Amino acid sequence: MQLISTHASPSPRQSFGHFLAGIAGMALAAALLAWEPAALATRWHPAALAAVHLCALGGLMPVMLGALFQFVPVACGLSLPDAGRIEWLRLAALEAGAVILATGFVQGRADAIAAGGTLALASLAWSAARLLRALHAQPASTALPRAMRRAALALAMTLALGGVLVGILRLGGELPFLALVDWHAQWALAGWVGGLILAVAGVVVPMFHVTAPYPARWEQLTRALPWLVFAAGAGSLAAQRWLTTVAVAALCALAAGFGVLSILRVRASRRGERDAFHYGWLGAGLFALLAGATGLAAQVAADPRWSVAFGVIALGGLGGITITVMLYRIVPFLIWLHWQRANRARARLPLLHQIVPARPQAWQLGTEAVAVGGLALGAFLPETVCLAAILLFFSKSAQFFLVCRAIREFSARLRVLQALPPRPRAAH
Amino acid sequence: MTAVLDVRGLPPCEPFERILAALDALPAGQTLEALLAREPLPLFAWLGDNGFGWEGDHLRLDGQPCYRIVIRRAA
Repeated sequence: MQLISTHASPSPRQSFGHFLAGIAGMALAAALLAWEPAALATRWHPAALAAVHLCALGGLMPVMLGALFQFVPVACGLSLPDAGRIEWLRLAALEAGAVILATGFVQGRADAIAAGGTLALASLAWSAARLLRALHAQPASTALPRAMRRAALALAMTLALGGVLVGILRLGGELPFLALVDWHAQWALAGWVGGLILAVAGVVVPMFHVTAPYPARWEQLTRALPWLVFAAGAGSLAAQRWLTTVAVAALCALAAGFGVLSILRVRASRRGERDAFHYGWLGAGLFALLAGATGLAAQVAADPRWSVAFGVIALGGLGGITITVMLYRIVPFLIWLHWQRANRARARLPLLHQIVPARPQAWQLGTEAVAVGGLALGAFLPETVCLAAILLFFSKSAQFFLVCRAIREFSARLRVLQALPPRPRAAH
Repeated sequence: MTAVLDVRGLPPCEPFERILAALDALPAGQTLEALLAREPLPLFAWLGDNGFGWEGDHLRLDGQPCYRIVIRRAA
C-alpha cells in the first residue's frame, strides 16, 4: 500500500489558525446582522449580501479548508504537501477579501465589491487548484476522494461564476446577472458546502458515532449532485423554469434524505454517550431536513421570505451547525494525534472529550442552534433578528474561546511530551 | 506467535490507544494482528516513526467490511 507522509502535510497550527479565523468571520457576520436587523427583510438587502459573504467566505470557508489540510492526508490517504507561509498569506487575503467585499455591499461601492471579490477569488483559486491537484494526482480507490473531487469541482464552478459576476459589475455586459447570481449561490451552497458535508459525513458519522455506514445506494444517488446544480442553472439561463424546479426539488430531496439518514444513524449509535456531539449531529440532520423543506418552499411559493429562511437554514444551520459539531471532533482529534506522535514516553493522554470540555460545548452548540433558528424565523418575524444575531455573536465568541483554550493546552502539553525521555521497550 | 486484538466497534481514538498498549506489551519476535473497522491511516505514520513494520488487507467479517493489520517490530 502507499504510505502517505503526514509529516509533509500542513501543520496542525495552520489548521487551527484557519479554524479561529473562520469562527471570527462567523461572529462578524452575526455582529453585522445585530447592527442591521433589517438585513433579513429580503435576500437582496445589502447587509444580507454582506453577511452571507462574511459567513461563507470569511467563516465557513477557512474552517473547511483548515479541516481539509488534515482530512485529505489522514482520512483519504492522499498527499497534500505543506505550502508553508503562502498558506498564511492566502488566509489573510481570503479574510481581507471577505471584509472588503462585505464593506462594498453595505456601502454600495462596486469598486470595493470588485476589489474584495478579486482578492478572495485569487486566494480561493489557489486553494481549489491545490486541492484538485491532490485529489486528482493520485488514484482514488474509495468513495471519499471521489466525493471530494466532486465538491472541489463545485468550488471551482463557484469561483468561476463569482469571477464572471465581479467582471459584470466592473465592466458591465449583457449577461443574465440574476440567473448567474442564483447559479453561483447554488454551486456554493449545494455543490461545495453540501457536497463536502456529504463526503465528510460519510466517514465521520459511522466512525465517531459507531454506527452503520450510509447505504451504498445513497452514495450512488449523491453522485448526481453536481449534475442537478448544473441543471438548475441551465434551466434558469435557458428560461426553462420547469427544469430548474425539477432540479431544485431533487436537490432539496437530497438535503432532506441526508438529514433523515443522518438522524437514523446517530439515533442507532453504539457509542454510549448522549453528549453534545450526539445531539449536535441530530441537530445537523434536522437542519438538513429543514433546508430541504424551506428550499422547496422558496422555489415554488411566491413569498420571497422563504428564500431568506432557506438561506439562513442552509448556510447557518446545515453549513454552520454541521461544521461546528465537526470542529468539536476535528480539533480534539488533531490535538490528540499530534500529541501521540510526540509521545515517545508513552505518557497517558487526555481522552478526546476531555480536550474540549463537554458542558461548554453543549451550551455553545445549543445557543448557536437556537440563534440560527431565531434568524430563520426572522424572515417572518423581523423583531427576532436582533436578539438572535446577538445570541449568535456571543455563541461564536464562546466557541472561539473554547478552541483557543484547547490550542493553548495543545502547545503546553506538546512541549512537555517532547521533553520526556522515550519509554524503554519491553524486554521479554 | 501472534497476539490478536479486535477493536472494531470502538470510537476514535480507542483503537489507536489499544493497539499502542498492545505493542508496548508485545514480546520480541511476536506479531500483533489487529482487526479494525477501517484502514487506520494515522496509525501507519506512527508505526513508521516508531520502528514497526506492518502488512494490511481489506476483508469482510460477519458481513461487514473491515481491515486487518499485522504489525511486527522492525529488526
